[in-house]
This record gives sequence, C-alpha cells and structure tokens, in this order.
Amino acid sequence: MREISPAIAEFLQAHRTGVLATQKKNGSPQQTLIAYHFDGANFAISTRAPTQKAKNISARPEVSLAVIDGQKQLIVYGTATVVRDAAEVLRLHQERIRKIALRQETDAELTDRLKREERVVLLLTPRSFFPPTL
Amino acid sequence: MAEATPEITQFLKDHHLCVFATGRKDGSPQQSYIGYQFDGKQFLLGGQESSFKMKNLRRNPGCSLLVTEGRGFLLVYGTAELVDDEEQMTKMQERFGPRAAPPRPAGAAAPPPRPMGKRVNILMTPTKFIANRMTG
Repeated sequence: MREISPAIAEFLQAHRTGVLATQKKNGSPQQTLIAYHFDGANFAISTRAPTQKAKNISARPEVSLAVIDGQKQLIVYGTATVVRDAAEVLRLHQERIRKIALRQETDAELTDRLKREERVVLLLTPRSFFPPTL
Repeated sequence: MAEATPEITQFLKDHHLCVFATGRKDGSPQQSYIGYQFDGKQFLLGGQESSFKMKNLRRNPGCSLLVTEGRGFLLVYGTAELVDDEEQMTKMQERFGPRAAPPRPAGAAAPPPRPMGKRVNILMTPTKFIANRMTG
C-alpha cells in the first residue's frame, strides 16, 4: 500500500460518511451512502451480509469511496474484503465501528445485534486518491 | 424510463451536485463529484471529452448518481447518452436552462476559468430512483 499524506489522512479522519461504489456483474456501478472508520491505513464499514454491496465485493473487490464536504472532494480507489468471522466482526465493531456509531449499547447487546442483523465488516484498503494531494 | 415522483423531482431541483459513477473497462467503479441539472425527466451532466468517465460511458452507458442530504440520499440508476455536437449541445442547454454557478465561500472571488478541453454533454435517462437513509 502507498504512503498516505498527512493532509489526506486528516481529511478522511475528520469525516465519517462517504459514497461507496461497487461493481455489478454487468460492469455498471452500484452506489450507496455509508459510514466508515478510517484508522490511517484502511476503512472499516459495517454492513449486513445480504446487502448487494457485500455480495458485489465478495465477487469483485475493486471499489471506490467518495468523501465530499461542500465543494471539497476526495475519491478513494482500492480493494475491499468482507470480514465474516463472528469474533473478528465483533472485535472490529468494538474497536472501530463504535467510534462512529450513533447508538450506545453494551457488549452483550452488540453481540446479539451483530448476529441478528447478519453483520459483516468491509475492510477497504486504499490504493490511490483523486485528487492525489489535498 | 423511470418516473420521478413530485417529491423526488423537488429534491433533485433543490440540489445540484452529485457523486456520479461509471464502470471502467474491467468493471471497477469510477466516481466523480460533479454538477447536474434535472428537468423532471432526464439529467444533464457534462465533462471533458478526454475524461475517464466519458471513455467509460462510451464502452458501458450504465451509470448511477447519488445526491446526499445529511444521512438521507437519493440514488438514481440510468443510461447515458453522450452528445458532442455543438448545435445539439446548445439546444440541450436551452432545454435545461442556465447552469447554476458552483457555490463558493462568502466573499471569495470567482476562480479563474480553467483551461478546458472539448466538453461533452451527458444525457442520462433514469431507470430507477431509490430514496433511502444511511444505515449502520
């Protein structure tokens, strides 16, 4: 993975929502608004296993994430993986997703909800940015 | 073609910037943050002839755009038609009306015009509208 400039890392950490585009089977894009946690190296995104974006990423991992703020934009290109292991999904929610979550819940409530909602975590590793510098 | 409800039409007319997505040759998604106009039926967007999105659309006209407002968003799937004939482009701009000036901070001077290559219009016909709120 390439080095991420401090300005880009700062912009990404100052925001928490973006437009995630994945690819459909026919090569056309699919888009959705998501919340992310950026730890300086990769993005963690909570979603449900049956969603189209999770299915698309499992089959075709190249994605794009657009983070916009007024007129400012940063488009991230990279590869995503779907984390399905229950223990790892729980750990990523506890250590990362919780920092951007609106709800407050105990560990027991979280564990129960992750199972009930068939939660998985998308991990997106950036490869390039547009614009290349901020 | 999908019909926009009055609520969707109003939302699209109240905004003018979207994240526009196309598919590259290998199918991977490309996105850009650009202006759009909506006349109640179709979208007018544009860009430079040499841009990646034009190359992508020539190969695969399937595209989508997403307009956000807080945690709410409107997602539109559609098919793009590229128009590069000057006369047709002028007619199209007359149909959609003048483009909104991009917003800038209060008091800021207008930026100098960027050197532009040949512009091409994108006429997008919507096939599906999805209004939703962010989850997760």
